[in-house]
Amino acid sequence: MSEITQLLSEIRGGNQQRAEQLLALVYTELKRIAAQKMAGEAPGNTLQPTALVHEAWMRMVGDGEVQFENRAHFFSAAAEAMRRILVDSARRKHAIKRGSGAAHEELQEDRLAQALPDEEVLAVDEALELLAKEDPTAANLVMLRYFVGMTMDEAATTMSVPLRTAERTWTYARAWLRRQIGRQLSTLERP
Amino acid sequence: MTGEREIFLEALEQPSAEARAIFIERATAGDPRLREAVEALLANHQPDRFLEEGAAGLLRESLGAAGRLTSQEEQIGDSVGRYKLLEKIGEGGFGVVYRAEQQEPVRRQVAVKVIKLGMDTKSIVARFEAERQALALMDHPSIARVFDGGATAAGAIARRRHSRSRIQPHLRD
Repeated sequence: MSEITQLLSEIRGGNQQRAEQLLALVYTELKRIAAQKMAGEAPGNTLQPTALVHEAWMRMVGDGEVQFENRAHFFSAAAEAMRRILVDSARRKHAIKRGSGAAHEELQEDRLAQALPDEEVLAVDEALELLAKEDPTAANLVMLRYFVGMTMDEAATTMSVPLRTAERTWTYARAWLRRQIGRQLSTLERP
Repeated sequence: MTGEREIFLEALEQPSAEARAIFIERATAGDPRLREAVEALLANHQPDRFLEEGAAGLLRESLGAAGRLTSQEEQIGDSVGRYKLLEKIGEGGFGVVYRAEQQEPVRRQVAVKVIKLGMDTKSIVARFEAERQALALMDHPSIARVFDGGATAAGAIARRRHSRSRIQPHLRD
């Protein structure tokens, strides 16, 4: 049994420390793969999160038989790792924008759909933190779709739920997050 | 007791706004906070692209941020802001000009000049800003108007209306 597979099965057993170890390993691996891809990249190619994560899976776990629960843990870790990478980047961009003194519109509720990517990522990240406490399954689904770029089908398979269930969860999670971001924004506006 | 999630989802399945109102009334009877929570969820249920496209767009920039110098260049096919770069049409003293396609709010071809911020940040941006302001003041048919400016991670853009007849003279450095 490979090191990673071992880790995964220990996470299944509820070992939080192992979960953090996995996260650190996946995080490092994702960055490594991305650097390699960017170095050898043909012009015009874009870096898709799903491809990155699947490559990390192949490299770290390989083609051995892996149980669904283990796979789910891996992809959740990958989603969390991707989230950290993207949120860090969004924070840097945000800081640069503010520091430069450029006119910076606060994210308005009605502009949510057209929000600049980094503003949206930061807002979603904050709201997601709360959703994870109330409904971890819904939060997990959002992470798989938003940070890993999985389709609804892929996410449902990974989570071992029927597609219809995943769709309902998604509908709920979207409305929940939007509602929460709205609350976050009105908190900002209060004098 | 059913929570907001179940009530929200079932409310969405009601055949009409009227049926929905009746359903919510019944499902949240005696609990105004729950009712308010459900109403808020419904208000935030919108058929737009929120969350649908994922955060993939940021990925390229963020993963490449560490130790990337030359690969920070824009490539054909890349999207820079709302512009998709189609072909390189010129190179100035401090930037590259591309023919690009604007996606929003209307689809049309424009010329986009991308400045390499890595080269000489402050003075280049200042010079570019001065140029943008000067252009904005000019009102001559053969001089492209600058509509907006913006900064990407890699450089600054001035969008100019693409002239089919020739490259604008001031672009030929």
